[in-house]
Amino acid sequence: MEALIATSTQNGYTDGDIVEAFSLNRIRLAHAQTLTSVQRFPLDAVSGLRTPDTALDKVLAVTHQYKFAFDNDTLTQTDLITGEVTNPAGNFVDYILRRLMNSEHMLFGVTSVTHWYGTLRSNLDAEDVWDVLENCSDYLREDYSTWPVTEIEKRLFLPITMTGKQVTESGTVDVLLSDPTVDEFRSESVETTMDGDEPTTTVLARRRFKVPYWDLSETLGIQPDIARTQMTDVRTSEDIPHVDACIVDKES
Amino acid sequence: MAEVITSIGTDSSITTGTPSSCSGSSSPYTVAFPSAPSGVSIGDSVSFTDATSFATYTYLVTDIDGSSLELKYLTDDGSYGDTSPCDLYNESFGQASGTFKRTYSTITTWETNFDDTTLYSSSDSATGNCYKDSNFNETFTINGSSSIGLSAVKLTAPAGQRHDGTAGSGVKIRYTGGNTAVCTVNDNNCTVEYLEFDMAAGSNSNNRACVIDTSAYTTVIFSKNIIYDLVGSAPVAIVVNGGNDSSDTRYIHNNLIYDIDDSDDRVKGILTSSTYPTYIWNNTLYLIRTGRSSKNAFAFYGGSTEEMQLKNNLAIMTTSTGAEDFAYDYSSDSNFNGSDFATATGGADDLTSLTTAVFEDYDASPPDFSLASGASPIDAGVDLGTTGGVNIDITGRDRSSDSAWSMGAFQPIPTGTTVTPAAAQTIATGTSPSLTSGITLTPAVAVSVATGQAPTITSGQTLTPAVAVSLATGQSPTVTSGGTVTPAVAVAITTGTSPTITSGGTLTPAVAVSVATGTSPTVTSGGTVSPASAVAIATGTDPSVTEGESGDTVTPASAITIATGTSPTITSGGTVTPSVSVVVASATSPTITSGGTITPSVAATVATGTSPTITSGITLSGIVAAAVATAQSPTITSDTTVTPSAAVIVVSASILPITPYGILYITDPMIRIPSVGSASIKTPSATSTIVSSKEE
Repeated sequence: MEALIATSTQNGYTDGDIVEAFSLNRIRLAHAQTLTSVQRFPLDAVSGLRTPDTALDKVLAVTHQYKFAFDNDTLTQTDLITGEVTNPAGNFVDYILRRLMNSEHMLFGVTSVTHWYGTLRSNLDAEDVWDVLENCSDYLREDYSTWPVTEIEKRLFLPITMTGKQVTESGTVDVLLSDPTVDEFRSESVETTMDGDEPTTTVLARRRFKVPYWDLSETLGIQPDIARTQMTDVRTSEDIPHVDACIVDKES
Repeated sequence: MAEVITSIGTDSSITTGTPSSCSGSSSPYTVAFPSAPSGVSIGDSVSFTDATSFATYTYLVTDIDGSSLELKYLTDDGSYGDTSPCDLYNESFGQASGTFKRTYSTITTWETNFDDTTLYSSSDSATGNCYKDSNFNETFTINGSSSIGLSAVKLTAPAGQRHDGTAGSGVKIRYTGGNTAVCTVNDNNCTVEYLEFDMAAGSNSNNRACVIDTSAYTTVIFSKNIIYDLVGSAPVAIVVNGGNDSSDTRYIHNNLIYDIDDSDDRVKGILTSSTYPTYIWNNTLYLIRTGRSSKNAFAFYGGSTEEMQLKNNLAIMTTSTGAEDFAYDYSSDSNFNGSDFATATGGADDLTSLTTAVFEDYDASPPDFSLASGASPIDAGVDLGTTGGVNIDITGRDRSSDSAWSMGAFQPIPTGTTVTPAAAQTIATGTSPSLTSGITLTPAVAVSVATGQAPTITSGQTLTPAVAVSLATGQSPTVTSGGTVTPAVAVAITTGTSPTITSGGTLTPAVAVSVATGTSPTVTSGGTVSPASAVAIATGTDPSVTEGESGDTVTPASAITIATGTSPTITSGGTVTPSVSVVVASATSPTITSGGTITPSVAATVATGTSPTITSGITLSGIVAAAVATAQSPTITSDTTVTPSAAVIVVSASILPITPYGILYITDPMIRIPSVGSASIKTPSATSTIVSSKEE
């Protein structure tokens, strides 16, 4: 897990707030999407469609639930999770032509044989995506394991790495933090009350969790005055600090 | 007041570039690159690592003019301060190269930096341009503009990154966490537009796409967004809280909201608890439904003081198990709304009992909620002017010049009227795409692209963009310009099996290039062509270039007409008077025919190949003219006068009858010379026969 820590009290955030937190799953999904963004896969000059069987085509097949294939006048819908196949009715020639109006459409195939994908899967697993991406490209997931923090963000925040720990027979090992756990670390501090049947949410603070980096200079490897005044990045892949030793719940 | 644009996305390596020169003694610097960095936009950043100081310097791209970029110093990790990019070196002590990237990786970090004095000054406006590098997975609150005194804040997607009115086509926010609204606006003078909120991945308590909160009440605009698949308890797409007074200006317009289908809870499309005005215009809603008899469903739900104004909205909610209605507590002047229920807002111009047939494809994936041809909501709305930008529909199209407004977020494109966007892209792709403009197109920047099997671009009248590109690629593309084309820079390119470029009127760009490549390309210029520099090129199996009927004028300062391929043909039927012109036809059977006047000061007409033919039916009077036909069966025919001060007509190989003045080289004995006043005949062979003009 990576996090961006506020190094001053500004714009509603207090010093030490976890402004953003990124799970490894989120990091690798973002990179996979960037590497397969539609702009990197130009249209075929003859058919006007995206070339099939590219990395983009294959990645979409594991990130979406449905595949639609149109062959002359028949549309076939395949549930890529259950394998169920149906044949929806409708005028799909007009539908396809309207989609083609967008130069960044994601209709694949050759003339008169077209396919596309619909409905993002609810729980995307970056490992599934990277299994496909590594198979059809030279990209390696290990090279895309850190969030693309920009220079201006390094000046604004303190980027750090944290991990879970588990004691095993061979010693303490690092444990990946799940998406929900990481999502919680970047959540607001809120209070929800009911107005009749209607829930009303009041934001108490922009962030619920903080990392008191000024007390963790040895753990994080940076002095607080440096973190506050200079462009910094103390993310690491070795000796990663334990999340429980770093994070404070402001509501507790 | 300056608009400070910064980009937001996850692309950290858009491209690289090495400056060739810099100007400016302090930031911002004007930095020239050998070529325009590909994919870079205003608001992106570029970082250089200086090998002499080991510091990384970062600059903001604040302007782009071709290959010249204006770069504003942002930061460096050595704390050296403002330094010209041209003072940064690589390990060989040459100019350091830069890597272009987005300036922020998340919306949250963009919003957090509103008080950064290296970026903003008081009264500046902040624009965050979101890029669809990857899905945004976050919640964000916009409320930090007051600390430095920003005049306005806009979160948007730039052209090329925007959705087209369907899910999955543009910048998407898909938050996987929980707790609160994905987007909260709590600043005045704030716009959120062109974003897609995919709410399917949120946890049960994540049931608000956007909340316009109590401190945001003056010029707050939430428009052209797509929101769908809300889940959780009491889901509502857009919530408007509190307010200030009766002069509040909160606008929610041209949004698409669909699939709030909850089995056991109350649901709403747009909910306002404000006791002050909220203007809800031209939104499209579909499937707002509850499955529980004790709950209710509303497309629009207002505060008790009836200050929610509803106009031009279209909601096909479908039938709920519980109580339901189009709207609850709305202003008395609400009207021009469309509903599938028996009552909308009770306005005299409301449409009721509508069905899903009004939509193009409501059940496709992704669904298309544009209005079906002939649907009754078309032209059934009211003109709401330009307040809050309501005239711009969800696809970015300006309704202002349409004869009538339609209900909902999608304004159908009428035929036979004027299209004048500030920046326009018209793109058709697919099997047989066709772009037809029977009207006036005056965008500042226009790109017309048609790709596919038989694409067609037709412009029937005036085209006056500053920069225009018409590009048709595919099997049989056609580009036709029937009127005046006067961009400063114009390129018309057709490639494919049988491409055709036809210009029927006046072409006066400063620089014009017409290129047709493929099996049988054709370039036809029927009227006046007078760019400063013009190039017409046709290459392929049977290319054909035709310039003008009799009486047409073709007058570029510099013109090059080239046809290459198996049987190229160049025909000039009118007056061709470039100061410098080259007409070249080469390959198996090239033909150059001039039926009118050709008066360049320097002209070269060259035909090479197996059976080249040059025919001039008229006057040739260039100062220096060369007509050259070489190869197996060349022919040069001039029926009338040839009066250049210096002329060379060369025919080599087997020569058929000619009547030239000048120097004649004969390399084959089978020659008839009707009238040679002054000619030197070199070394006929022993089998040669020379026939005098009298004999002929």
